[in-house]
Amino acid sequence: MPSLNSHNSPRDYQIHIHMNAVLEVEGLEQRLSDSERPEQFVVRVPDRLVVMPGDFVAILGPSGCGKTTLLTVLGLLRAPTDATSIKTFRLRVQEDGANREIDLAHLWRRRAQSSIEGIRRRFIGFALQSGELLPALTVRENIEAPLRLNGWASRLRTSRVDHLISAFGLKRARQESNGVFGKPNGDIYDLGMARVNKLSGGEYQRVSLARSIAHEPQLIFVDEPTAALNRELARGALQEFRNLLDSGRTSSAAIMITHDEQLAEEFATLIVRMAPLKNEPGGSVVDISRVNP
Amino acid sequence: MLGRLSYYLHLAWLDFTRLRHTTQHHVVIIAGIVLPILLLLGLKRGHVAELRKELLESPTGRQITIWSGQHGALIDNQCVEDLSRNVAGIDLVIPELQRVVTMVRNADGNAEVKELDVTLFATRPGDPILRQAGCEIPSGNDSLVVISDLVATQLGVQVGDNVDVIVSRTTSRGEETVRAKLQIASILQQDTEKSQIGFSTFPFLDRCDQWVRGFWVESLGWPASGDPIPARYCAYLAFTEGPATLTDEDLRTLKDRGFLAELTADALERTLAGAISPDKAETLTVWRVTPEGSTPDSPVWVTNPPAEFEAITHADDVVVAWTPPRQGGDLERLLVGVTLKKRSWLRAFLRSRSLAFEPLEASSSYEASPPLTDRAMLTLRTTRGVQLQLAPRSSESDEAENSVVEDPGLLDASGMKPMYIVSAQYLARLGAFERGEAEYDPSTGVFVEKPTPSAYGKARLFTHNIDEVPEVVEDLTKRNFSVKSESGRISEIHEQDSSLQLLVWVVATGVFLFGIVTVFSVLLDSTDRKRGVLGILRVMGVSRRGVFILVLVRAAALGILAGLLAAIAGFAIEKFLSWVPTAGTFLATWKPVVSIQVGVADIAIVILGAILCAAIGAILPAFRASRIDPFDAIVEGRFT
Repeated sequence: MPSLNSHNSPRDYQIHIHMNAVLEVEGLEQRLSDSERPEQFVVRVPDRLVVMPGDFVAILGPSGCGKTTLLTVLGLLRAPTDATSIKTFRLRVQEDGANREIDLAHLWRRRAQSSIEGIRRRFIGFALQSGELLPALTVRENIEAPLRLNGWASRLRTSRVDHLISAFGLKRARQESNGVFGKPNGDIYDLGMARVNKLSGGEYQRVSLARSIAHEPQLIFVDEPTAALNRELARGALQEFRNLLDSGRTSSAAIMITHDEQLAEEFATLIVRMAPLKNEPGGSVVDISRVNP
Repeated sequence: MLGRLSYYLHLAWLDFTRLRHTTQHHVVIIAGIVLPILLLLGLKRGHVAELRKELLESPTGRQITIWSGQHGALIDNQCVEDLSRNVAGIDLVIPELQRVVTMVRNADGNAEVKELDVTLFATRPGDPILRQAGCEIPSGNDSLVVISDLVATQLGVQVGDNVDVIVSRTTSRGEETVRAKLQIASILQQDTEKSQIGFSTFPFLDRCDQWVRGFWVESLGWPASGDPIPARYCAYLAFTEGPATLTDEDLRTLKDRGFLAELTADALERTLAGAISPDKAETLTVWRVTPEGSTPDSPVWVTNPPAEFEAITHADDVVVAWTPPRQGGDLERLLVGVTLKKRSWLRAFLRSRSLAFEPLEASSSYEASPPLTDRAMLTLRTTRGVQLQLAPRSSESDEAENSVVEDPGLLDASGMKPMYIVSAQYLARLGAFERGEAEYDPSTGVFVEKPTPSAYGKARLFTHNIDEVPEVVEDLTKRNFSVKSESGRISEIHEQDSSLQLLVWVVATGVFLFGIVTVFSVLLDSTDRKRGVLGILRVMGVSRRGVFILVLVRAAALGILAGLLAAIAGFAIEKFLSWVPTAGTFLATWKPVVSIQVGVADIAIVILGAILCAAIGAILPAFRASRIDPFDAIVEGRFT
């Protein structure tokens, strides 16, 4: 992370930061309509949110303040309500060794759905609340899915999946196998060939995390990691996740949605706080602070 | 992009096969929809097959009997060839030909000779009726015969034995017979009426027919009936003496009968080939009588006897039939053909009155003038390569032997040359043979009529299959043949087939549409249940098109499996319904035997129909699936 002291002025420092940011958002306002409610649900990012390479961002806030809604917009899962009113919405990626800046607001304005999907497929990874693994596939096939969607060669896929299975500790001792079909390696079973419905909660979460970073995305979204696990298991999975992120070739960043302050303090480098709006349903980003520099 | 597409197909396949517990009932539903279509198709095919069975099993189903529809017209070999070549659908034509022959078992040593009258019918290789009885005569051998079991028993012969077949005819000379050796190819078992019948090849019976009609059968060495062809002349010489020549009235009379008479200056004609010395010939008036329109290059041949001209003219003329003498080649002498009555005033003009210009009808004898000392056979080489042998005529007249002979060495062209004398008829027939208008039978030494093609009253022909019968019948009717066939029955079967086919298509269309609606509702529900999975895929970056393809491919796989299941079930039902229980058992009392035939085409139609049904029914659900909001789908999927 570049320091203020290495630049001539705070403004230069700001310029330098922005040139290297993975994600920049400012002036976003998302409105959701519900047929059962007359009012719209509003989520705002009034101030500039800048995510730098290596950042582990925690978006904190009480339930119902729009954290997940914000995730869907930042993760390109939903179109912004009004792309023309967004001040900044940019993604900076590394592709074939070169940096590329993508103006997401422009793409949304052009309704370039195909391009958006391609960007999401290539540069964004998701580890969702319940893991959401594909039930018909094995552990290996689930982790491999983003690699296949992005056209990775077979040999590279195999080595990447093997690495992630090992890195996330997706193994089980023989006496614990309980008939799970796996690849034996002495007394330890590699869970690669196991069907996901045979996994424990922690294993399931780790597979979800492994899948989210398999294709070396620029930006990874982790949604409520403690929703399906207790804190300890979640911590373990996140630690492995964080280690891998830090050791990765690409300068990725992760954005974690959580209401767990402790988890946020332990892992986050940037905390984005959201609070409910006063006069209408919804929430807004009220504070962005960098921690654990 | 191709890699992603193949991955979508892979995902669809994995989802289909690994989560089959969620789809197996879908397979059963679709199979249940298409199975009735398969059974309907099988029932239709089976019903039509039953109707056709009898016609198919019996060769008479594709047999057509024809007669010529034109008065007097007969079916000959040329006609048979034309039909075989020009009428599509004809497999075999067998003219109806039969002959009663005497069949003789060859006597071997002391074995008893047995004879039996047998009616032989014509057959050809490929005869379906004999083939059905297992007695078809193979091609390439016309010396084979099939006989009935009655004939075999009575003659005491078996397959492989040889028999003599005696054919007889009646001629002016009385009863004549010839023999041929045939080998028994097989024995026809007759179930009910036993008859003394046999089947021999059509060419053999055709030759028998030819011989019975009096023709020479060269291939079998069977002689002609012995009657020579009528002698044909293109000229006559009418001799008159002095003023008693042909009058104008005579000339008109001849013209009325189609003949022209003109004086001839030809030396050979005036001197009757030198038989009359030129001095004597000066007192004669010689007319050349020819058929009107006859020219040296295009002669007209007639068979009028010379006496006819003598009778119609008032002049005291002597008319001889005239064929120009032959000379040169191997002949050392002139070959002269003249027939002159013994009591003819013209003989007084001959150098030698006893020249044998007599009405010799024997075709193979000659007289030499002057006589030859050695009286050898005379060999004539014809232009057709046949060598004729003429024997010297045994002379009863000493005068002939002692006739005045002038020194041949002193004779010149105007004098009487040495000659071989044959009858006018012989020389005329020799000419006809060399022109190709007759044949020479060496066994009798007679010039006989050329065989005319046989003609038949009716013929049997067979089509390749019964479905071609109506069209062939129509074609034959246009060619003026009278026809008898099973065409009416076959056409009726075709109509039933078409009607049933239409019924099947109507029902199948209804079932198919119902199937689409059912599949649509089933897959819509199935896709709704999979919203969560589809949402994950969309989140991971699978495009809308990819989701569409996933759902569609999965539905197609459902269709294939359903089609196969329906096919297996269809076969099983077919076997059960077609099975005939043992008589007397309980099942036999109530189980109907239904003719149902499930064909490969039917199965292909049903499998394709199942795939289409599933695919079409899946289009809307696939479209809806591709349009779901990814995150909403995930959230909703958590609660399903």
